[in-house]
Amino acid sequence: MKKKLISGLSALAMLAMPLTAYADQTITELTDPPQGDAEITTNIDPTFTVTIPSDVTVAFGDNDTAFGTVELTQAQLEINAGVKVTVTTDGELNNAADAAQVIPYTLTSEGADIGKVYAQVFTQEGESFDLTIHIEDADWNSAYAGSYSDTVVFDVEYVVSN
Amino acid sequence: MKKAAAFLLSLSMLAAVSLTAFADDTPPPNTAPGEAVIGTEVPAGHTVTVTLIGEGSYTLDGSTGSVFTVERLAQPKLEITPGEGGEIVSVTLNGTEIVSEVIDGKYQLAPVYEDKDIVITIETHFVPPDSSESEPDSSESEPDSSESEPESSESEPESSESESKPDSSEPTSSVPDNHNTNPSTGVIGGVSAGTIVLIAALTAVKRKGKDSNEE
Repeated sequence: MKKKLISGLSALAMLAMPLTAYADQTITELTDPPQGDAEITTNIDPTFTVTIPSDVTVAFGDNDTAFGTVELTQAQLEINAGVKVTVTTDGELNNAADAAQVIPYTLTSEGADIGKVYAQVFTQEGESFDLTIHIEDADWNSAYAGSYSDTVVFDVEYVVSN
Repeated sequence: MKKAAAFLLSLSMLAAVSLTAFADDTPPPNTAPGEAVIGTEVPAGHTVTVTLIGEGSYTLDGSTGSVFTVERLAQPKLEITPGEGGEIVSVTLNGTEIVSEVIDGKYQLAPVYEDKDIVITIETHFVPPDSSESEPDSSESEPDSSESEPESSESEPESSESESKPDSSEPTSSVPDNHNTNPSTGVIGGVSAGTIVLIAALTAVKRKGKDSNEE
């Protein structure tokens, strides 16, 4: 009985082993029409790289300070696809000792105020836009002494237009 | 031994079972957001530099010196004291004239948000001596008006300033305006009668000398 059991299990094990089968196409004198085709496929995943500005220190009293460049430095995108970059700021530098004390500022690009939320879609490698930090004289003159800072957020999103 | 063989056979069955894996063809996942921090430092104090031209003194919030450090957004008070006979003619703040805002030598600065440079100019005017000490003897004869006027400019005392002699109509000192024209003192236009007589005498002597030479 045991021998029969072992034999049966061995047979089952052999049957469960997968076998690789290659289907070759053959065309003979009997094939109608006498032609065949083989499909070649491949897949390229989209990739991209976006560079954003680094941390920056604004000199006391400066009205305009270069912030940096947002650029699509590398891209391999699908057709009708793009990379959307969204810049978000609350527009206020906050005093480290007293958050109620603020210095208002605006972000500009090519001289125009971009507001507190700004988005641009890049479709080609090398596309970019520059950012500048602008602070008015009146805001500097009324600012209390101390350290101020604010965080600007850059969101990057792969988008496909239909 | 048989059990072990059975066990091994079972394991081989499991290992031989193939699983189908499907490749995911969706786009790459969204990149995590990036951040950049903007920072700045606002100074706690500023420098106020004061320069004085002329005779006098000043204080800034009661302190003396030429360079002061004031707290940011403070409003220090400048107090100017001209010297004797002095007058504040100009006060500039970072190049802007503010003398009209200086009241009784005092000026309060607006909240200081940057370094300040103050220049104070004081002019001192000549104060003529008291008329009771310098007037001549009233018993002397009246000066010859035809001869005294051209000479009056020589004997008139000069002021300490480089400008031309002051207009008699402008008040330059505390001495009353009618001092120079009071006939009872024998002083006319700041020139004493005695001086005029002396000049007349010298002129007469010169003329006599000329006449004698011609003869």
